[in-house]
Amino acid sequence: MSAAEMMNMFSGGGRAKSKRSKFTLDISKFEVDIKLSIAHRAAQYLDWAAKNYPHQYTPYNLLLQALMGYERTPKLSNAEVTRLRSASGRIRKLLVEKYSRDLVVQPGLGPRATVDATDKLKMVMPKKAARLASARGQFVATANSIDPKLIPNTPEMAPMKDWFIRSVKDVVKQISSKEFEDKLLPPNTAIRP
Amino acid sequence: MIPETQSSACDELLAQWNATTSEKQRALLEQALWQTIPAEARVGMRRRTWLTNVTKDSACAVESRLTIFGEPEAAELWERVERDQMPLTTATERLKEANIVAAATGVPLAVALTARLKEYDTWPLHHTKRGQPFRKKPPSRFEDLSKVHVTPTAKSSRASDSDRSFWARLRPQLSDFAASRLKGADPIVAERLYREFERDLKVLFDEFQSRVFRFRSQAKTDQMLTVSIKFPQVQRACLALCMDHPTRGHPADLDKARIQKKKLARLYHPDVTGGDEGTRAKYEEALNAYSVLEDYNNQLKQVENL
Repeated sequence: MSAAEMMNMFSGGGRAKSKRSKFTLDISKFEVDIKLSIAHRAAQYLDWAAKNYPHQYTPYNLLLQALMGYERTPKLSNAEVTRLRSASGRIRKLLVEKYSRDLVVQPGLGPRATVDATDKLKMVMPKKAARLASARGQFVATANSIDPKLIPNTPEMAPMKDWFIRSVKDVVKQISSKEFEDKLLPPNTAIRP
Repeated sequence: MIPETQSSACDELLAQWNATTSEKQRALLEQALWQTIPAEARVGMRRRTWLTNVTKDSACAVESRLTIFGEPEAAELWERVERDQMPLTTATERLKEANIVAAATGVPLAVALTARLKEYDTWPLHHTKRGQPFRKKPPSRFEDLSKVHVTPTAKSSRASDSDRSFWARLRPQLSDFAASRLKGADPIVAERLYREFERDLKVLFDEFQSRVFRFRSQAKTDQMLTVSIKFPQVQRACLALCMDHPTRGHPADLDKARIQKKKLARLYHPDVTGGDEGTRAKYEEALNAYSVLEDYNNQLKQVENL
């Protein structure tokens, strides 16, 4: 019996071992355009990954390696990786404008671009709706807390007071209704954003 | 120093000594010179010192000549000295070695000397600054124990202690064995042979110890190389779990792997996704990756315990 077989025997060799699966990202096939900015390169990569590895999250360190063409994968705690992580806003903007996709970021796993309309509806829309619902609540709470009688009729504040009484009160009445809330929030299904 | 009656004969011999270039002839003349002094006058005088003073030759050369002259079977050696210009010191050394071998093995001196000279012929040839040829013995393959420097560390001191006890146990048996084999030999020769034998045995023992150590470390390295899970597999597993891979030879961070596995399970578990085949495969991959890291850490532990 060889040493390797013995080691297998000791370590419970019956268990399945990791092999190169179809989900393993092969970033060497991605051709980076070095004329583009880092955020644009990231958007380009995510578009490429959405086509070749749909629904697959790319860790930020691997994303940086793909963008910069490094020989080795940097650590996740690398300062450059942290900088790339903070560029999500720019990447999302470019993805929407140039590639008509959206960005999905999973904490601890990494970002990916949406694959199709279903994916966008499933992963992005509920989050956006949740954000809008949250903003709506805050908007209504702030509007209800303001008493227009206490606002002085000075030349500076008069147009603002007029806007608040005529428009804001009207909008608050519309969005604070139960009907609007039901329309805004997604149905309670097994799908989680 | 020389009695007057003998001085004329001595002067003649000295003149002859200066005239000749043959070493054997010089040895004969030196012997004759010594004979010119009466026996009473020789008491308290050293032959080598006296001859060195009279002939004004080096003490080493005089002693070498007298040593070779003292052996009647050293005719071959004289030939070498005269014909091949073998240095007198080398010739003396060869003769001494032949004497030792002859005493130890019981072979006639002439035969032992021939063997020594044959061995001498195989040595590489060198030249002195004056252009005189000589042969130099190649260095021994055994290390000279007197020149070995042992670093006084805690480990080495422990090793030397065990070594000393080993030799303390072995020495009486060795000496008994040597005494039985060298029975009847000259005690000085036997002592020298025994020391050489002991030295060689110690060198062999050290070599054996170092080879065992090297073999053990090599076996450990081989074990590392033949483990069932290779490092690229670990790297792939870490990539599947979206985490940093460990340094080669170091254990993986299983706590982090567990957290990542949970994160992936929340996304791809069949209970969450409703049994989708694509996500099920991803979930299984995450599970496999975690098991690979676990096995890798176990293997590292086993190799360390070797």
